[in-house]
Amino acid sequence: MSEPEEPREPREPRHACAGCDREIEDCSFCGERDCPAPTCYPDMLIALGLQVLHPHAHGGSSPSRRLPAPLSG
Amino acid sequence: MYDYTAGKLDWLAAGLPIEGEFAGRPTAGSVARRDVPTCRLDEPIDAVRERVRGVGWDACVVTNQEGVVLGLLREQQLDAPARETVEQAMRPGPSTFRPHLPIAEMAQRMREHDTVNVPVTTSDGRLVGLLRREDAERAAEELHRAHHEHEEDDHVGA
Repeated sequence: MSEPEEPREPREPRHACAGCDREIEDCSFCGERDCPAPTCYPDMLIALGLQVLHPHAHGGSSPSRRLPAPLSG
Repeated sequence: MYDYTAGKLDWLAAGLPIEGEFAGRPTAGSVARRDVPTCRLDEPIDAVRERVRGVGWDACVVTNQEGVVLGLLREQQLDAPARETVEQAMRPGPSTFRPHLPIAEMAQRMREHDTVNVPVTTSDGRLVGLLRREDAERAAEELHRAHHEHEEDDHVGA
């Protein structure tokens, strides 16, 4: 005869990065758990153009190279 | 163990002056409002609410004596019951952003995340100002318009 199951703690809903589906606790951009577009920390760095640059053979590259096109519309 | 030595990104993140093609472009630091009200942890929330709204603001940044950001009071937190202190009412440890971030990216992210304002700080957490979404979006649109006019001028000149 099997033992009665222990009552389980109710699981919190899963929060995942909208970009890469990585499980996250809260949005790295706004810090909100119920953010409409939750973002993990690595994706936020990429989105804000802060990803690590590859060192340039001639002594570094310009941060201006990472700037995205201006907003459209 | 390594001693951290500040580099180029820390210079940018401190909002220090820069030269070059992008020096004049608006950033989170240049658009952020430096006159945002600040308060301390132990202040009563009702006194802070009165002071903040009295000068036409709907947000207040909680800092320590060194100006390091500890929390944020947005409209919802400012409406906390009068018996609470700032520490009880605030959103602790808000996400903060560095002053050198391009304004277009900040505006886009704030829109996507439905964020009304974000604190801008140096790498060591000292408050630079509060970036409001409406300011970020306006600056991004002006930049976008200026970029298009510049492109059109180039076409005419070609």
